[in-house]
Amino acid sequence: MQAMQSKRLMMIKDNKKQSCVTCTSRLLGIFCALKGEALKEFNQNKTVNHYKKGQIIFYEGNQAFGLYCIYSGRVKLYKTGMGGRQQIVRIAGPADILGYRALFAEEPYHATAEALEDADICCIDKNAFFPVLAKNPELALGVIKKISQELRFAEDLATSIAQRPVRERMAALLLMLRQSYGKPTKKGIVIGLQLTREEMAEMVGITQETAIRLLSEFKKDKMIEVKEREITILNLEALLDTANLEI
Amino acid sequence: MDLKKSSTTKKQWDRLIAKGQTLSFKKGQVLFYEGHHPYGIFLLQSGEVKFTKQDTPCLREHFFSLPQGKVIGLKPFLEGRAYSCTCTALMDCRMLFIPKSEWK
Repeated sequence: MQAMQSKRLMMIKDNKKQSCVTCTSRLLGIFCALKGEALKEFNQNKTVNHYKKGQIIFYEGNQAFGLYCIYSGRVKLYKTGMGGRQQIVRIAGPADILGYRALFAEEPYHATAEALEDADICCIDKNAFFPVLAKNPELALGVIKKISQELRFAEDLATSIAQRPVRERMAALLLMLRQSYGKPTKKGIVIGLQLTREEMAEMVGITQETAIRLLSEFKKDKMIEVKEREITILNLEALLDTANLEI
Repeated sequence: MDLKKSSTTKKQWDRLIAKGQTLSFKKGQVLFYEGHHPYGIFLLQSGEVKFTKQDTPCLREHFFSLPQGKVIGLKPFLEGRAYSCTCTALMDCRMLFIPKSEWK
């Protein structure tokens, strides 16, 4: 049994199946502009690895040597503050790229990237990436656009954490998760991304106990239904009202 | 592994090392996971690492040593196969990393 398991672990995931040329995730992200020789060069220099849930793609504070692109699965990026407390700064999914800010700024990674679920992630080292970027202005513009969007999101989040009451922040988080990962059902919108209470708390800068209490209150008010980690939004208007957002 | 028997000449190694990037790993951080394909090779310049296979210790790798450090992960890299062990820093380590794109 052990020998079979070892053999299974040793089996190489067929990199040829995850070619940049046929990758559907590529068309959703900044690499959609790549064609011809540039795409071929990317494909030749990329390495694909399967990360199991909980495995680390890169560590906060470590030097960047490459750019990562998510082929499938989801990754959480978090910063570790004083006392070891984690603050999730982003959740990335298919077609998202990781580590680009550290590469461009020539700084260490600003956050740790950890697989939130099993994920296939491509890596291209900077010595292969930068020449392609230099020859492809559309790719460069796509990266600038991406960085600008993330900067806006980060500023909004910082303002939200600093100024909004915890109840509003939690409601706003549920609405954001609904928008990004919501799946309609007969009862309401089910949030397809299942986070732990701790992860939800980290995303809005509250304690786990406060997150649990707030979810319990929302459940009591019939705004949401909770089944372990699965959350269903039952009353969108009431949640928008709690988040102090207009429809 | 003797440098003289290696198919990579000293001149080639000197060129590769010049292109390398210094990386630091803190105690407990993972350099690479069992089953993953190499992004390049590591030269361990300071510190210590351990190798584990499915959470049990691996037989110690026979290191190929250069003046700049012990080469880690050369065989899987050259043979185009996945790592057979997970490599974790036993203490704060400094590595010279030579990426895949430099081996042309």
